[in-house]
Amino acid sequence: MSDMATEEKDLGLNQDVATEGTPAAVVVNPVSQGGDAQDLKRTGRMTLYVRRFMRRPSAVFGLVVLCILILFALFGAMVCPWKYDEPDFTALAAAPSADHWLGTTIGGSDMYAMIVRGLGRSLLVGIISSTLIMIISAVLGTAIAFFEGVVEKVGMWILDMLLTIPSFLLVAMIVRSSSGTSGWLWLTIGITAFGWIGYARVIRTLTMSLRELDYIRAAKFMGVGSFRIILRHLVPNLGSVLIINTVLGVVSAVNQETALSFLGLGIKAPDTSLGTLLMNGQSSVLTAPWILLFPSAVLILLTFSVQLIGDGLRDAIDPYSRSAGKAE
Amino acid sequence: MTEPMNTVAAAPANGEQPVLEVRDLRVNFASEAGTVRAVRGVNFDLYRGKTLGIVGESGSGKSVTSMAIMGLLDKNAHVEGSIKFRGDELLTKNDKEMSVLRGDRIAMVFQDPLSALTPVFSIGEQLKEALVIHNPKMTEEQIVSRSIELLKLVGIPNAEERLKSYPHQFSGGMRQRVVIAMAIANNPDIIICDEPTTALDVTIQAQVLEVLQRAQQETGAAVIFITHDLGVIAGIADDIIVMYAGRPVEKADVDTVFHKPVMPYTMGLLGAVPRPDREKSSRLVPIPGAPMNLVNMPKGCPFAPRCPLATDICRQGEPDLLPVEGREGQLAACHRVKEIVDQNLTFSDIYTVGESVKSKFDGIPREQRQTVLDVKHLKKTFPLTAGGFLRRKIGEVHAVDDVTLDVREGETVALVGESGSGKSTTLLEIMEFRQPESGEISVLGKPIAKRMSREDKRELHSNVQYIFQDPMSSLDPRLPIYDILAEPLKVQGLSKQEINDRIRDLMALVELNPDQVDRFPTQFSGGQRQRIAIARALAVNPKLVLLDEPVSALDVSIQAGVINLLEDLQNKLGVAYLFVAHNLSVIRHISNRIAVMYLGRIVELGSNHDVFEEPLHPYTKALLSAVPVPDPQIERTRQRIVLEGELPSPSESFSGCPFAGRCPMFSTLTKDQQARCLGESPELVAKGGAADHMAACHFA
Repeated sequence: MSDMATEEKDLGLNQDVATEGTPAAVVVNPVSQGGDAQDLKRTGRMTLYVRRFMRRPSAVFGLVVLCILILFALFGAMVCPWKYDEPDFTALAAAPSADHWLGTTIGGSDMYAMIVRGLGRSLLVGIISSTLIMIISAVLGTAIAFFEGVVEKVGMWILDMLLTIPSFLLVAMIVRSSSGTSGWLWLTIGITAFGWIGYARVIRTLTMSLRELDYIRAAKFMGVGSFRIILRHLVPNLGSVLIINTVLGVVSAVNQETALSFLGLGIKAPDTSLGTLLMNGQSSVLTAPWILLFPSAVLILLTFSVQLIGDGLRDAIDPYSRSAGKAE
Repeated sequence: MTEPMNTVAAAPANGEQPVLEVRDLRVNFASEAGTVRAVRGVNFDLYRGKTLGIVGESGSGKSVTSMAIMGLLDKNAHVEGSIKFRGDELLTKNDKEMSVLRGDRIAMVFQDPLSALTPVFSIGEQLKEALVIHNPKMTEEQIVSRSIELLKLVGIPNAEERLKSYPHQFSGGMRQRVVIAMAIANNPDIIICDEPTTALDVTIQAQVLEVLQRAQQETGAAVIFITHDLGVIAGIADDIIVMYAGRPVEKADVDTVFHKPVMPYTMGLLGAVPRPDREKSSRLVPIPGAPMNLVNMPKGCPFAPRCPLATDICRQGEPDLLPVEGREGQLAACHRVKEIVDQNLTFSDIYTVGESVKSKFDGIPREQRQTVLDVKHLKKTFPLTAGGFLRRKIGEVHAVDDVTLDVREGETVALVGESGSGKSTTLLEIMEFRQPESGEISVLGKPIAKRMSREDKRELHSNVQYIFQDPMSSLDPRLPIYDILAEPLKVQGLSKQEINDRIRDLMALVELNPDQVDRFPTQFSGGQRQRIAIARALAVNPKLVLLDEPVSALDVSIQAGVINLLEDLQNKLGVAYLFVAHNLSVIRHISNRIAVMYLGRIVELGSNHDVFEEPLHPYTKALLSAVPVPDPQIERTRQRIVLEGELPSPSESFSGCPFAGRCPMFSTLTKDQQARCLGESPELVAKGGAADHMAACHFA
């Protein structure tokens, strides 16, 4: 969440990339005498973002790595003869070989199959909870800021109270009481339930400057209802911030999932996740290092690539960034 | 391009060397759309003691030119050409070498005095920094005495004590004086002023311009004065360069530019501004079209698409800036200069004035029209709270203090005053549709009550609409124009088909192409966006529109078109305007009645003619005398009433007249009369000839 403070400046986005549109030729419209109609050949917002994003090699690299990882999680199991829940009792803690490409665990499970499964679970938990967190925090954060006065005071007080709850412990307790197969769902719910609070605070701060803008005032003066203003004007104008936060939120959700699972409080056998694999591997670092090494490598690749994408997105969407290329 | 080297404004006869020679300066920027050619060949010489004015609309390259001279351009800028300071090439210098010159030989005064000073250091420390960087050997005593000398020069009272004050303890005008003091601290050869008075009120602007002229006399420096305001430049410049699309299009001494302009763009600029010193005679004449985009410029004269005189030659090749035959020292970049000079074409020959629409209420006297808005004794205070836990109330800001005014059908009432006079707060208070703190607001005869039904509120929203100052921020950038225009209609509960029809009509009404409804606001120019905002306000057929500085964010050539549109719409639809502006020229042009506000009170109220021609209140007189007139001859001869000091804080409470402290008439009064000013608050009563011309002054 520490990287979210830097997003404050992204608010400038509302004024956006207007100046960068490219009217190719100015045609005087005979209808309007003071008129200034233009025939516009415009670089669309999306094209612009893509172009800016593509200018950053590191971001493109991150995107490629993430795509490979996702494909790996989706289809990796097809090329492997072993299943994650079918241990090979003939090869316990075996080193990587032609039979078991990445070795086996102490219990004889194939590491390759385990990693494909674990990566999939971690990604699923990360993406679902991060998206949910953003939706909840966007609606509540903007609402708290928009209504001002008593609503804002009470809302902020509740948020502050919720922040003091030892969320890690509570999530652990929720997941512990669940069964093995539905564990990941409860974990997602747990991470979401306590993850939105901090983001809601940040979004409320961003909305505070947005709510003073003229087009919000204009909507109020036209008599547009409060809820409509929030959904039509406030949330879309925070869009870029929300997108960046969702992407970066995946990293923190995956990290949280891994941490919980590592402590044995998250996803439990027979299901597996990157964190569970790491926990299993740490006990045999010296005798069977591949059990720890391969999942950690995948975890690092995952978080690193998402972080690179997040940075690239921020630069692409930020109107003040320096990614405009060089003058002739 | 073969740029002739004799493109130099008349050199002084004594053969003096110029301090600054700029030759063929070109600046390009990188952007997503391609290379932006911001400056395309600027040439000028600058001599000591002279003021060169650079005028142009936004995007004409005037500020970029000044930044190039200072060496302060961004890294993605590419600069070509030559800038020589006393024969020394500046463009090849690196940042460190430039730092030796910056602030010492070449100084700069920026537009916004609020951000030009560091808030955490005292004025004394910041002045000291400006001095010590270039004179490391100065002793502490010398620094203090020089700082005091500088502050006195720019007219800051109690200079010794003020050295210890911090920027936030100064008002905007005072801060700009400090910035000027820092600029002249090392007796520079060149002072570059980039819109130095744009952020200030007219009365303060008059003071600051005076200080700048004094500073120039004192240092003998050459001044480059950049502005978009033709009135300001008329009074201060010796020579003028008019820039358009990154190039100078006309260059001459100030009288020639204002009285015998040659380039059609210059004529258009001068014709498009309303004049504060003349009664409204006809419609304003906007220059058609919008300023050129500086990427992928078509060949030919950049002004050709907007120029009424453009022919095929104009569209084929860009004209060079050449001396005008038979005119000493005047240069113009126009293919048709010869015809213009020979036939003595003027503004009215070139631009055609459209017919205005006849008002619905033409001929009906004011008294017989329906009252649309009636405000009686409106008050609005903001509590001043102390910091800390308990937020104790320690005082009140009287933002609006007993305002009474009425607006009738089809007329424009203008609220005028300096910033902080409460004019915008008055508009917002009306727009809130809440029972005011004190006083009464009625719309179409119905008072706004504490509790109103949903239906009543909806009706209020359909009768009263609001137009904001900045069309960039008043339209949601994420919504297409169609949705923006549909919003107020949906609130009124119209059906899809009705909304569709209405939007088509609205686009035509504000002279925009109805096919463009699917575009986003960012795809329109500033003028077009303000038209969209106007269309949105008129969508529900309101009886009254409140306008908060609706044209002040627009360029002059565009502004005229929007003002004309507002006038036409008023005449066609009979809608009433309550208009807030600080630009008195615009007010003079557009309004029927004027209310002058000072510290939340109306000090004078009357018809346009009465207020401008026979002002009663000393504040109105001072305000009117401070407005710059775009005519150098008038500017040189006119007498200004320069007000002492600044607007007092609105948290002060006055038992007498709040203006007494700054009133130029106050010192001429007898002791008894003065006591009355200080002890008794003047009422707004009818004075002078007309029954509806009122002033709040005991001795007007």
